[in-house]
Amino acid sequence: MKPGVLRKFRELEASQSLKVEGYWLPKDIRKNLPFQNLEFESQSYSAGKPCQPEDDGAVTAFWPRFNQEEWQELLVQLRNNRRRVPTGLEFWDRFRAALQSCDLQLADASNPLRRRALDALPGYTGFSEPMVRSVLGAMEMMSFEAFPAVFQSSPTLAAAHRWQPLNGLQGKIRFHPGNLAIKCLSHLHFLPGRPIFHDPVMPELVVGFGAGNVPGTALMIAMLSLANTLTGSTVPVALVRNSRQEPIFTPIVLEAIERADPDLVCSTAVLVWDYEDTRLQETLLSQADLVVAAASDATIDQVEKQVKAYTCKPHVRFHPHGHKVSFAAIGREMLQPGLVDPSSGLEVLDIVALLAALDSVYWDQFGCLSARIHFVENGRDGANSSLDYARRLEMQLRSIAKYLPRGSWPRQTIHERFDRYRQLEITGKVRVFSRYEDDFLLVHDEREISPPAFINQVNECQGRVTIVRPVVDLEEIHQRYLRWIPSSQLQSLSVAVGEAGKSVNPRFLRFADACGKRGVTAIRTVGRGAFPQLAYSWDGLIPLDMVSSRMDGNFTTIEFDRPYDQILETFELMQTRAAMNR
Amino acid sequence: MRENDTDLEIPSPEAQLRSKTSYNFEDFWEMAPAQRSNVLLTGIAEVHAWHMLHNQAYRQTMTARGAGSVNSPEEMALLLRPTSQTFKSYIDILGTPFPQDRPREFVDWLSQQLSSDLPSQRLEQFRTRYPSLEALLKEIERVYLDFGLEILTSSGTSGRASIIVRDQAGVNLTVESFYLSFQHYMGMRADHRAIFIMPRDTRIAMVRMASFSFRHVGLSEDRLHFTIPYPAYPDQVRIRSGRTYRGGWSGLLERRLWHPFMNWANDRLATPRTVKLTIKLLGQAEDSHDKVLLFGGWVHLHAVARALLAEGRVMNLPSGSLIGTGGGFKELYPFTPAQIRADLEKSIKLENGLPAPMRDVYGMAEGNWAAMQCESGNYHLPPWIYAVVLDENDRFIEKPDSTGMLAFYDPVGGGDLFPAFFKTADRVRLVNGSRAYGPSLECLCGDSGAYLSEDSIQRVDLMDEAGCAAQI
Repeated sequence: MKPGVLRKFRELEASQSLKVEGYWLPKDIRKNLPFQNLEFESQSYSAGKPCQPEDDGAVTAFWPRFNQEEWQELLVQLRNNRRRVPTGLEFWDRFRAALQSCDLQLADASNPLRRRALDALPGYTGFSEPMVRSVLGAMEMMSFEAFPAVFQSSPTLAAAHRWQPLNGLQGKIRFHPGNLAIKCLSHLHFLPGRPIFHDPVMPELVVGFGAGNVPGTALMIAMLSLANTLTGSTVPVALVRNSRQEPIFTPIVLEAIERADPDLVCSTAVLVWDYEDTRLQETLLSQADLVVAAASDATIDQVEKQVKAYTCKPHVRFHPHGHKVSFAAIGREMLQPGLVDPSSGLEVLDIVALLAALDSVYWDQFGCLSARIHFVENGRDGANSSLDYARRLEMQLRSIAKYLPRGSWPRQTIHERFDRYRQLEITGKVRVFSRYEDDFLLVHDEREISPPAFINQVNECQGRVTIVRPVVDLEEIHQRYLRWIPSSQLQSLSVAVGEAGKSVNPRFLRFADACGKRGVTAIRTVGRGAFPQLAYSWDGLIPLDMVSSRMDGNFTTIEFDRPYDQILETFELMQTRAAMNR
Repeated sequence: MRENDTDLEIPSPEAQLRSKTSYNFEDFWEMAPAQRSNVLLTGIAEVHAWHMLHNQAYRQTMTARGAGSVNSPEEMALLLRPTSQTFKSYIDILGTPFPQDRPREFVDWLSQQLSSDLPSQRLEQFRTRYPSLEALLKEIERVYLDFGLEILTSSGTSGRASIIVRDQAGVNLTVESFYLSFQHYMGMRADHRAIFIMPRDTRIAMVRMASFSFRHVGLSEDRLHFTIPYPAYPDQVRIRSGRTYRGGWSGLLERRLWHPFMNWANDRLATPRTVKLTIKLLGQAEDSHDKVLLFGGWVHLHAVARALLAEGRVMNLPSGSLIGTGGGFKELYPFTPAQIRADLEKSIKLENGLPAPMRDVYGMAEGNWAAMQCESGNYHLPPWIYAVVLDENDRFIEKPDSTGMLAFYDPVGGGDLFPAFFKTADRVRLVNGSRAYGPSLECLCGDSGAYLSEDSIQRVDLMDEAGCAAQI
């Protein structure tokens, strides 16, 4: 993305455009900034497209451009501020309280931070205002209750052999070794207790790079960095590069947290700088103990090379979060006729369709967690079919489109795909469930498909293009489809499986294991795709990876114990939120 | 006449031939803009109604979109099918970009695309496989000889062939459309010598139509030259482009042997021969004082210019000679059009010492027309084309000066086999298109019709947003 316009602060102030900060610095540091002398870079967007500040609907985000001395001074101040940040459980208790306050602030219609978010985010990003509003009120979907437990125990090599329970958390964890030697070691039964992680080495400086395709990645990196203190150590400095494509959300949330408890985030900074500014990159990366990059694959390559070239630290760690795709899997037990949620009286299949639809619809399917293709396991005789599921999904997508409208993305892509899939109906194996004028495309596709055609289909599933594919059984998902996708590009699976009151069964664990071996790193129930739980695996990395190096390999986590029950809990939670928002 | 549920008056089922406008192509140059628009809009409605009855693929698409009447821009926009998809849909339906592997299914697909009753019993005449796409296409033309089908191809940037069919009537219309445009905008007459840096044997649509149109102008065969000495059949074009190969061992051979060999042969054998022959013909024209139209792609023209410059030679052609450029860059080339122009200006001049005029031609295989560049640098769409630009939501932008994705309706010259209503993948600045007309915006060359502003044509590929969720 090209750099924006540089100007002095007073010129910025004079501009008529709606202006919003695309950066965040702790209050005490901001107080001392010589604003009038600083240069600011700004970028303007209207309906998600770059524009001039004077254009209709323009939202201008701005951030300071520091020189080398100012960067060094910033780092010194952030390091000094580390002393003020509480540590361990004290930090966590205060952080949870601050998050609750943040949640209340962002849910309060009269709160200026909420207003700022609603005024600026839709115009800048192109996402619809209802979409932004729904996320502002959904902080509680990201649960932090059991987060401290994540740092209190460390998985062992036993996880390379079978699923292991997670200490204090629902779900399970599995480790997929990255090299043959460790794979072989994992089969030696006398070594199950060997830790996967080495002794922790707390980072003092975490440098993060946040993607801008959906709001919040920079925030995730900042929060994970802060969570390091749960090991008992001092919080690191977290310096996160905001994306020019979406620099607004993270500063708003950090400001809300700071208003509740300033000490918590006083060693965090979110700014914008250029990867091509090699001198600055060298300054920052040479001092970093941990670099977390959520970006395009090309950018990750570039940053990784820079880390290797510039680092002065012997054990610097690099966490890449690149291009990823996610899917949904609907088990046949959900297709049983007459399966009803006793609490709401609704058919479970409708609830599943709603939650799975949300997994695809949130952020208009531009997130790496967005479910692109919904695999539906063939039901037994008399059960609902994948076509029935598609019908229910269509109803939900149509309903959702009214209260979570699609953002200002070109309809040309949906039209083009609609035409193509309608032509394919002639094969008798494709059925289009949406209309030309709809803001979504839903296709039921049971054609035999080649690997390149499948990859092409996956790539098309953005901007609310969803495909339902029937599978003979869940195993077909990994035996056939996931096998065609590079393992480094698989991310999560949203599942609808299980029975009331029952834990995951061995069949499911084998399925999950196979998916993990293919490269899936997170398995959660439907409806939670847009709300990643930081305690679990993020692209094969768990929170302990922030503080320790380990054996080569990836983690896969299952984020539930009783999937059926969790699905209904998620639905109930959403119903409660919806009622509160009315 | 009867009405159907689309509220359109349509000819009775007994009328096998589409009712045609009583206007000729030339009449459109004489019409005022408002009259021209009205005539074309009437023609569009008629053509739409006719093909709704006779063209299965068109009818299916229109029905899926809920298209009915064409009384408003919103309704008219629904009639547009994408050029990138319409003649390539066989790939998705057959599941292969190699229709020669499934010839009967391919012919079945083809028959659905055409408003013509291709007898289905003739499908039995086709083998189960053909060794090449060219072999299959020749066979189709042979089996349906009585329909006078001519099959053209365009591989674009993907290497996957669009298959466009014309019948004799359609070919005649296209030829007339092209030669009228060459005459009107480039001053082509029968006393020119036409040197095409193209192969004589090819199915590439633009090349075929351009060469036919020159015959129509009245050029004798000895004044019409094709200087690429080798044929360019669709399979060769595919392999040379290096983007789509067959599977298995054939594909391996294509990728590892034929593709590098063809490119080597093109660079070391074909292009030098082409350049040599072109220069020889230019030299002959120079000696005999014949006006020349030299027409070719940018890369080939540049090769000629560079060869002349290397020899230290400058061509001095009679006044009235012209260089025509056409075809986008289908592959990476280290020189820009501006650099190519500069070299051509240095190497090919008129007798008065000025550089030979250069005019570009914009067109596409799916269109039965070409937009010629005038001396002011703009590209003039023939006045019988109703051109619009679309915004990113596929809606008309109806202003006299607007930028968006080019779409066109050709109710007069589109032929009877399919409605020539298409949206392209080219972003352009269109002036005085559709019904919008601003007299102050007329081109400086004096033509009052729609034109594409110089340097505004951009190929746009629809790529989704990238980020952490992106493309595999």
